Amino acid sequence: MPPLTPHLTPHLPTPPTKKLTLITSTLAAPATWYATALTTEILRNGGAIVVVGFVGEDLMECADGRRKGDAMAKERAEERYVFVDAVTELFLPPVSTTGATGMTIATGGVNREAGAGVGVGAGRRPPSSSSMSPSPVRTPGSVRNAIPTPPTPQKTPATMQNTTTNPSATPPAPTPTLTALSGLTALSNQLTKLLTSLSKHDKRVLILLNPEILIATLGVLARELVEVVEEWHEHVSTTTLLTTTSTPLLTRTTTRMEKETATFVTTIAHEAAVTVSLRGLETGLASDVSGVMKVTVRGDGDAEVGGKGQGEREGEWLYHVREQGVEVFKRGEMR
Amino acid sequence: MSAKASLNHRRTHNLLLISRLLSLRDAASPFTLILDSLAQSARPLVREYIQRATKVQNCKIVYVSFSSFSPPSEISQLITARRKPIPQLQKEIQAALSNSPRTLLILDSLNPLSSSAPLALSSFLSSLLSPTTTLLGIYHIDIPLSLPAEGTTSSYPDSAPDPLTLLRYFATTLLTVHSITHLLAEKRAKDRSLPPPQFGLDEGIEGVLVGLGSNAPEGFVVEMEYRRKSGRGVGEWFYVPLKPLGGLSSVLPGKTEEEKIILLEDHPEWRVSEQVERRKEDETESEDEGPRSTFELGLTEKQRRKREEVVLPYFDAQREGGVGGGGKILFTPDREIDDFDDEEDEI
Repeated sequence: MPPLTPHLTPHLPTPPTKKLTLITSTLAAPATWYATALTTEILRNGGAIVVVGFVGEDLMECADGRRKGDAMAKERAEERYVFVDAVTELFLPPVSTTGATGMTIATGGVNREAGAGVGVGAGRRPPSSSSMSPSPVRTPGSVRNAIPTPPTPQKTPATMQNTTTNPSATPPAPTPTLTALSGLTALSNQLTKLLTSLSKHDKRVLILLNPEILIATLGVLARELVEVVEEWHEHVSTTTLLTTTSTPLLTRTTTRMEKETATFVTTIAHEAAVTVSLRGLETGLASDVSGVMKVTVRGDGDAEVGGKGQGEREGEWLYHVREQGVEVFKRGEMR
Repeated sequence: MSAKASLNHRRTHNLLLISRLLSLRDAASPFTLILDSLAQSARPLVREYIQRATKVQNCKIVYVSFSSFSPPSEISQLITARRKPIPQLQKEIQAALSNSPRTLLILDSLNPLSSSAPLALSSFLSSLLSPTTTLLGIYHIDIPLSLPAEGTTSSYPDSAPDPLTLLRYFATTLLTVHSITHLLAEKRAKDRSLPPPQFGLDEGIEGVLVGLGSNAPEGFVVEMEYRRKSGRGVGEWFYVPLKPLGGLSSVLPGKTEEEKIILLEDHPEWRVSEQVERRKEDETESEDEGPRSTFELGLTEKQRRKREEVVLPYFDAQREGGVGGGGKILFTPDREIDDFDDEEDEI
């Protein structure tokens, strides 16, 4: 089976050069298989990944990733793979005194783990609290990774305190408009803290899954979102964004949401060193081809992407997603 | 011949102009606006500016990054404009410009500024100008602009000009970069009167953002519009090779080193049809040969004599006694005719 690996090399981190890559997908051609293959490849090459999911569940928990479930446990323990569930952080109501707190009010050890693992949480709390909102709807331990920050005894009483004061401090329902940007800022702060805590790995990769959702849901401006992504980019070697490029969200500019999403995606495309576009076949559905993958390389001039020059990797390939894996081949190739 | 002379004159004049602009000589252009797109990024052109500026003595290169993820190397100072209010940014830039005899100030991406504070755009830009500064602004034309909404403090009136129009008005030089592969494809289609191919977002296919052949590593095309103080504008298309183009660079009068920029017309693949015509003109002395082919089209003496002796068949038929009876119509009726009536012919 023709491997996908040579196509993934532009995304691999090569410190000290920083680069930004963009992966676009459409409804007909989702990019989850690409993201999981990329994650596996980066981990194989010895990098550390932080995946921030703005839509949906953990990347490696879905069908592709479940096969590698055991391997992920090892990487999580080594802090080489971290999944940040931004949906919970930003949108689900804060924790109340239900079963979730059963997780947190516990012995110091478990509490420390939960508190430490949730260092990335951003809540709709008073900003002073280092919030910890393990999701009540998720199975414990599935998405949240335990980041063994050095045991901070002062954190434990703080979290304990939060759980006791929670019922009185929680607002009854989420209020998106007032706290939209503050929610994003809080998430950004927590994520920056997480990224700096991983600084011992020199090949850090940040993967953002569909950050343009925030334009529609939180109402942030494209400009602000680009600034936030830039800040996160400073702490890692490579940032990869996965976005959707459906025609209405890219070319029609009647509503604010469409305009801002188009602005965001095109701004990132201008700055990205490599753009990988996945789309369905123009001729319709086929049983042996899932879609078209187009790779365009911008080329930085000073430091060429991948070190080899762009002529080799730019082009269009067809791909077919199957149970055993993904085949990538050229048009008209015999297989 | 006069056409050729004027082409040479135009070539020399415009190449000198572009090389003066890129080397920042004589403060030729206080505010240069570079328009780029997803098909061709402005980065190679900016790099070209920076490379030439490093050769100029005492020239400081200040790079103000509004939304740039990877600023180029070889700059003297980097100022990030992220989340800074405009007065603070102005102060920082003035501080950077203050103590250097010559500066190249590069504003990466005027788009965020145009969408967040369009009212302040003109005053901000004019505050940065000075006799010793050359301002270089980059604007992406395919990023949609969302102006501040009505009712906010910095709302932009509908009747006011678009920020891009304002910028084009202010600029003393307007450089638009194009992709060479796309231009050549369009020219080939135009030469055959076919509709030009579309690339990137114009293709109209869902999911296509950047077309193939964008940002070619061989080089790019710059469309220059230079506005003199008198108001006259000079427009020209140039090709800037990034990889050596095989002997097409020229030594301009008054300079010692080669200039690698050439006119787009001098690009070997640009004027293919015209080159064929020029070849025909140059070969007027070989017209006697007729069209060149691999077989003989001429006649030897013997063949000519034999040919003159041939009598063509129609000559014989035209004689009275020849074959066919000189053209008369001979009608031989059938034997069993019984319906022949003489009276029918008397109408």
